[in-house]
Order: sequence, then structure tokens, then C-alpha cells
Amino acid sequence: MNRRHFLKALGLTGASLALRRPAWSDDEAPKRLIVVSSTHGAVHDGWRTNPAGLPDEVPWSQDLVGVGVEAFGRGLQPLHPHRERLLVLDGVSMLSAELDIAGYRHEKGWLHAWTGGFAQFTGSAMSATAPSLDQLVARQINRPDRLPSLELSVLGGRPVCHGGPGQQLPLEDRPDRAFTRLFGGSSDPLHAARGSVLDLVRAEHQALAPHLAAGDRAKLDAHFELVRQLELRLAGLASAGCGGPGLGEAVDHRTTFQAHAELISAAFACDLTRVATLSLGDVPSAEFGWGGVGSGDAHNDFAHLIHEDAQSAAAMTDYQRFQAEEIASLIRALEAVPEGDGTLMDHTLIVWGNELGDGWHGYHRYAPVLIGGQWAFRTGRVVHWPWDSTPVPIVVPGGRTTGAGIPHQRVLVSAARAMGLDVEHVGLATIHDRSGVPLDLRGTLQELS
Amino acid sequence: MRTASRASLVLSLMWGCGVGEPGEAPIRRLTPTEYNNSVRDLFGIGPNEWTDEEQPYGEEGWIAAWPWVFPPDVRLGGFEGMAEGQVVSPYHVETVQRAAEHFAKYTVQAPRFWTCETPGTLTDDDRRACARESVVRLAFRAWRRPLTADEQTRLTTAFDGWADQHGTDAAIELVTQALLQSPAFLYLPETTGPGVQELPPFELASRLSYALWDSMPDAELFEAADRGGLNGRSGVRRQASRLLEDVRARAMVAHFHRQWLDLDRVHANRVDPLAYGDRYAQAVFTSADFDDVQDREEAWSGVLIGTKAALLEEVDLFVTGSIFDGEGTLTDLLTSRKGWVASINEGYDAASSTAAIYGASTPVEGAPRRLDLFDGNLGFAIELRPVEHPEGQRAGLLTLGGVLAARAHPVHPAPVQRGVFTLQRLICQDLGSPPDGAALAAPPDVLGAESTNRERLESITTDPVCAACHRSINPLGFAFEHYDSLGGWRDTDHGQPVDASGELLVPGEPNRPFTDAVELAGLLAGSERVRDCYATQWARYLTGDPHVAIDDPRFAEVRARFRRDDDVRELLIDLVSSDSFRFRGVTP
Repeated sequence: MNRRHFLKALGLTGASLALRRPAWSDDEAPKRLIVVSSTHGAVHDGWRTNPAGLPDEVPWSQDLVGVGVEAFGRGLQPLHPHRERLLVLDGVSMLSAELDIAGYRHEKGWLHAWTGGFAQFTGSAMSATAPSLDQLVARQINRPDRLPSLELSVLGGRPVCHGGPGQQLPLEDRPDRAFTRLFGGSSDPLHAARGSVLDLVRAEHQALAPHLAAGDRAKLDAHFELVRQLELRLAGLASAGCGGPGLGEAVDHRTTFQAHAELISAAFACDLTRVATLSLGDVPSAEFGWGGVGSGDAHNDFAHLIHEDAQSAAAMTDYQRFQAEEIASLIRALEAVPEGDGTLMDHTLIVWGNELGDGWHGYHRYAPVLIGGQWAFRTGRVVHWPWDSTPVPIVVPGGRTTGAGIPHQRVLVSAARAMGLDVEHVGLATIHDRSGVPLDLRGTLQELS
Repeated sequence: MRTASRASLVLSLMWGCGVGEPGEAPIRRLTPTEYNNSVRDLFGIGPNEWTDEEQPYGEEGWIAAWPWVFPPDVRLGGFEGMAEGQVVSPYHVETVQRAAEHFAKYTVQAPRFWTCETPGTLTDDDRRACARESVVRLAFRAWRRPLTADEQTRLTTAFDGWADQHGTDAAIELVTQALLQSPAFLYLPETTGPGVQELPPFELASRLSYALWDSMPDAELFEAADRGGLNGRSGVRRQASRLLEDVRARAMVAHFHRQWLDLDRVHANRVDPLAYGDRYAQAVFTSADFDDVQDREEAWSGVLIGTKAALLEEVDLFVTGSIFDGEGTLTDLLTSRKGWVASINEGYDAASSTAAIYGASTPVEGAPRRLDLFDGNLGFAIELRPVEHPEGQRAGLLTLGGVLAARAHPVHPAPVQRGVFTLQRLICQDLGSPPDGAALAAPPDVLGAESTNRERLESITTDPVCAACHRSINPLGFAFEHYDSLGGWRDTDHGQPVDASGELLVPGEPNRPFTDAVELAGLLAGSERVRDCYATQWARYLTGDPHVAIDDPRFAEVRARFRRDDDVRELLIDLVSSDSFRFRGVTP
């Protein structure tokens, strides 16, 4: 490949979208996954969506397509225009996090939410004991000549991507740097020299190899074959000839999210990657309309008090609503790109979850939402399981314990299988409650398809 | 050059790595620890805490922290750095690339980079000429050996090309990126032919420095390699003695013991607040408003993180204190009552202390040590003061909180884990895997158990199939029943006085009874088998070969001397000056 030529072409950064977009039919278009990890869970009363007012004690499923916006929980209303793509899951608990004694509730929540496995702490740094959903899927569906996955964060979103035990993946907070990684065109000329650096590295390997014993040579060959593939990937990205979107200025939560959403949409359109993660940091109070109240930090001002104070509950409902607005903008960015008979969004599954059930640090009322993935799921519904359908004690406000909902691992398994993985469990396969009784965490949720 | 049959090559590829010919020391990669240390020493600038991004590079001589982590080595026999346990993955090579790009930015500023005195005052052309010379010297140090003519040509050609295109500073950075991703930096390649061969001096220098420092050679060791200073056993002994005087050797010795004792397990110990909160976190729970069950749990996490860090630090201080400043014997390591009690101030404005674990320790002379931990939300200031632990309750390493807390269930101590640990790590007696279902038979680890820990375990291991192994395991585990899940002393369990008595069964030695862990420690300290085992663990660690047997003839002389003299520093010098360390291809 002629790198210099390519570099010159990049003088046109920020130009038109998708110079060379693959023209796929519906059947050919690859499936994509986006994980959105937001913070502080939901205020359940402001989130729950139960148009017919059915009782909590029995499982049910209700249609969302034919209902008006007022039937949606206030926190979910921004997604009403996209309701035919939604599967709102009401009655899921993150009970494995409750049973894991290690670490702080936010921190262990991030690990459990996306790996389905236990947390592990080295000093005060957290690490995973299993790969996260995005990495499991990326390993299966990635293209060797492209980025296996893209890890982005908004205003310091916490690490949620893990390659395996102890392998925390770095997140990119800045859209401009993510742009460079995806589409090239860096103002830093050294970025483009990476290929020639790897050429030199591989030349050193080739010169050394004949002097080594056979076993040693095989081991180094394996290493530098992976270096060759890395170079192929970098070259593949560059040769995709994808110009990338024009990026607006990223100055706050909303605009950073939007810039990332545009990047993901463009990267999917050009098939630069098929898996993306957006880890959302806290939304400053001013951005979701509560700037005049408290210190401006929603976590300390409101999140912990949602069960004690109506104003805090109202604020955190708006917090949730703000994130739903952002996710609606992500859906629109994917719907804006035609693909096959529809759009990119028709070939995408978004899994939206949190590190907690609610801002009080509870794991009981976990609030995941699946968006898209219609090839695997019957969407346009809210599905409910009773909140005590699993006989494992879980802490609820007032210091009481109650039974738990469906273990969230089952949601991860359902998502993984929708993405084509042949897995029975994600993270833990079983867990023991504090009396030593084992609980099965395997299998998909039949109610979703 | 070595020749190999096609079949063995294919076999090696099938296994990925590690299936070497007999007697081969397979190629070893730098561990994450060794990588970080090497970068520090290569540039002559110290790393900071490795946590915060964008630390200023200034008078402190700091290099911006490497904010990510390398995939860990697979540990074999408990140790990282074992050639067979080093797999590569796409993530690994990407991480190596990212690290190289991160560190290469510092080359231009590094005190040890430039070969000329004042590069800042030179004309552009002179500066470029000096840079060209400097990258060649940097390559020598990064690859830890003189470059071949071809290597030098490739490097300077690449430098010239990049300098033409991007300028001198950029070329320096790009060359460094390549150096740090090259096999000669990332691996310890050894290029001798077939048969038994003495290692070339520069390869031997790297073996030595990575063994004793977990880092690259210094200028003096390079010079010794260059001028025949590593010739023969005596040359190596001289350099090894010198290396052991350096602070880097202390870090290595602490690192070895953390792995030998498998202390990382401390972090996985999910100590139950309901079982231990009252004992270890009373002060914290009562100092503020912790009536909420979740707030208590968060506060408990803070106590645990600080306590675990303090207990691990104590082990490091104990080990290095004994080996470098004290008696330096295995007997001392297994019987000394020296220790360090920590006061811990953490983010809840409340102090906790490991004094609650050790009870009535007596302060002794000595400067306190301070340890600071940060996690973005919370800071921990930990101050450790030297003490003598209570007589009759503590004896050496095995009764330190860090070692005990590494093998415990959330509610109860874990006698099986502690017994298996003692058998495998101190007596070098390997056990097979437990039969299917063994784990399920374990008594549940819950509050409100119906009898003592010992009784519950005894009742389920009397079956002859289980007893075959548990006969040896259980007594070594019960010996530690006086220590709870954080290593705190207890006189009773389930209202009964603790029974920690048993019998020590060591292959080739008479059976000996003991009443508790203190007596057991004395018996272990006097056992020849235990001394052989400790020497063997070091041999595995220093050679990167987890299969070194306890009766490996290559180390017979070394073991005999250690049995007689019980001198840990001499043991290390004996090992690195032994034939199998100085030669490649020596078979057991």
C-alpha cells in the first residue's frame, strides 16, 4: 500500500461520509452490536412502562407499538418514536453483584453488568474475571483486517470492556482521537508511520529467527505473525477509504455523545468495526435541567436519595430521560445510513444497561433495554417478570431483603446468542447464595423471541 | 545454528510454544514487571505510580505513567516469567505497540539518551548526527548486546528516512517505537548452537540481571560482559554479589515471595462484613452514619482494601528485612516474630489498623514506612511500624496476616487451602486434582455453622478415597485454625477451644507431632525437605522452568550447601553461578 499517497488524500479530513461504503443486500449485511453503559440505574417509578396496568406478581408481555407516549415511563419517553425496535425488560436483577462481597457497589456493578462474572480487586483497582459481552462478540464476528471493536467513553465513563481476566481495555473519551484511530488523518505524522515502524520490527524478527532453536523460533513466529496481522489491520483501515463524518465540537455530555454516535455510525457504514461500546460518565446536573439545584453533581446531590426525597427521584428520572434522549440520537444516526432494504439500524443490536439498578446502589430493580436486533428478538414490547422470581435474598431500601428478579446474566446470554454466539452462559454459569444453594445462570430468555 | 526435525517444529507450532527439545531453556519474554523496570532503567527516569495520565516530566525525573495494563503471564508453579506460560494474543501485541508509542515520546528528554553533551546547543545537522549515534547506543542498551553490522545499517537507514520525512525528533521517537517492539527487547533470545554451550557474555548478563533485578543490566554489568568479567563461575559470583547489594534486588526478592506464597489471592478473599465487621471495622462503622446497610458495605470495602494492602506490604518488609538486613536464613523466615503493624487512614475519615489482627504486638526500634494508595475516589495513607508479634501466637511468614488471608473463605478460614498450600509450596509435594464432586462436598461457608470448622471438615474427609490425600492435608490446615479469615488470632471456634494440633508427614522424614502453627513452623524450619523445596522454588523462578524437580541433579550441590549453611543470599549466588545457569542445554 502506498502510505504517502493515502496520507495526502487525508488532507480532506472531515469531508463527506463513507467514500467507499460496501453495497450490501439485507442478507449480506453484517450484524453489529453496540453496548451502552450508563450510570446510576433508573428510578423505577419513572421508568416502568405498563400501559394496561397489569399486576406485578405475574409474568406478562405487552405491546408497545400501539401505545401513546404518555403510557411510557417518563425516563423512557424519548425512545417512544423508536418503540417498534424496543424490548424493555422489567423484572431483572443483578443478583451476582449482590452476592459478590468485593469492592464498591458502583465498581463491582460495572464488572458484573457486562462480564456476568465476579469482580476482582488488586489494591483498589478493579479487574474482571471474564471477558465482557462486547469482547466475546467481537472475537466471534470481527474482520481480521479491521478493528475488532471500538471502545468509547463520554466524560470519563468507567472501564466496562475486558478482554479476559485482568485485561481491562482502555476507552477513548475524545472524539477527535477516536476519529484518527478509525479514519486516519491525524495531524500527528507519526501516526501514519506506524506501518513503517512495524516493517522494521518484522525485519528484526526475520533477521534473528534463523539463529534460534526451533522451539524458540516457533514461539517468536507466532508473536510476529500477530504483529503482521496488526499491520494488516492498520493498513486495512487506511485502505477502506472511508472519509469519516464531520464532527461537531465536543464540549459537554450531549455533544460528546453525539460525536461518538456519528463516529460509530460511520465506522459501521464503512465496516471498519462491527462492535462498539459507549461508556457514559455522569451527566452534569446543568445538562439535564437541574443545574440550579445543589452542587451540580447529580451523583451526590440526588442519586443516593431517590427513595427518601421526591425531588431527588424527579431529578434522577430526568437524568435517565436525558440518557434516553442521547440513545435516541444514536438510533437516528444509524437510521440515517441506508443499507440493504433498510438502514444500518436494522442490522444493529443496542444493549443498554447500567452498573446499578438504581441510584441508591441497589441491584434489585435492574433496568436493561434492548433496541434493534429484530432478526433475533420480537421487539416492540415490554416484558415483565415478578421481582421475586428468583429465590435469592437481595437488599432493598429500608435494609429489608426480598427475592430477586431474573438474573441479568440471562440477558447477556440472549444478546450473545442474538449476535450468533453458541454460548450457554456469559460469565458465571452458576452462583451460590449465602446459604450455599446453587443457582443456575445459564440460558437465554425465551420470552424475548 | 540449531537444526531441528520438521516433526518437532510442527509439534512446537501445534502447542503454540514451550514444547522444547530436552534440556532446552525455551525463550522467555519480559514479564510485565520486567518490561516496566526495563523502560525505567533504559531511559534513566523513574516511573511514577503508573496510574495518573499526563504526569509532568520534570525535575522529579518522572515518566508519564503507562495507564494501561499488559495481559498477565499465565502462572506456572505459581510464577510469572515461566516460558511455557507466556502466550501471545492480538490484544497483547496491540498493548505492546501502545506502550512503545507511549514511552517513545520520552526518548528525546531522557537523561541516558544523548551521546553528546549539550544537544540543545547544536546546529540542526550536528544534532541530527548526534541523534543518529545516540539511537545506535540506545539500541545496544535496549537489546542488551552489541548490534550486528546489518542491524546497525537497518536502524540508521530507517532513522535517516524518518528524519528526512519528519525531522530529527520524530525519527528518534519512531526508532524507539521499533526498538521497544523488537524481539531483542521483548524477549531474551539465546542464539547458541546445539549441545551444551556456554552462554555468550551479553546473553549471560541479561540472564543475570533479569534473574536478580527483574530488569536490564546496568553499565557495569555491560562492561563486565564486554571485558571478560563474566568469565567462569567466579566472575559470575562477583557480579551476582554486586547485584544483590542494589535496591532492585530487594524488589525482586519481594516479588518472588509474593508469587511463591501466592499472595495475589488476598485480593480475591471476599471477607464477609457480617462475620468480621464488628471485629475489624468497629471504629469505622461507629465513627459516622453507617446505619444504612449499603453504606456499611462500602465502608467495609474501604477497610478491606487498606488492610489487604497493609498486610501485603508487611510481608514484603518482613522478607526483605530478614534476607538483606537480618539473619537471611530460611529458619529466620519461618520462625521470626518480627512484623509491621499498620495504621490506615482512608477515605471515610476513619482509621483502621492491623493491630486488631495481631493483638498485643510490642513496638521495636526502627523507622516507620509509609505507603500511599490511590484509586481516583479514595486515598489510603498507610503507615507501618516495626513490632515484635506476640510470643506463642506468631512464628514467621506462615503466620503473617497477608499469607493467612490469602487462603480463607469469606466467613471461615480455609484449612484445605492452607494445608494444600503448605504441602505444595513448602514441602514440594504435589497432589493430584480432587475427585469430581469434592468441592460440592465442602461444608457451606455460612454464618451460624453447626460445629467447629475442624469438625465439619473432618466429618466429610474420613472416607478412604478422600483420606488418601486429606491425611496429609488436614493437619497442615488445622494447624492454622487459630487464625481467622484475615489472619486474626482466635482462641475459640463455635464456642469450643481451637484444636490446632496434628502431625507433620514429610516424605523421607520421621512423622512429628505439633500442637499449633508455631510449633509446626519450628518443625518446617528444621526439615531438610523444606530447605530443598525452598531452593527448588528459587531454581524454578530464576531459570524460568517450572519443571525443576526437588531432586534435580543439576542443583544437587546447591541444595547440599543450602541444607548446611541456610544462607538465602548465598543460595541465590550459587544458583546463578551454577553450570545450568551459565550454560545452555544442560539436561537434568
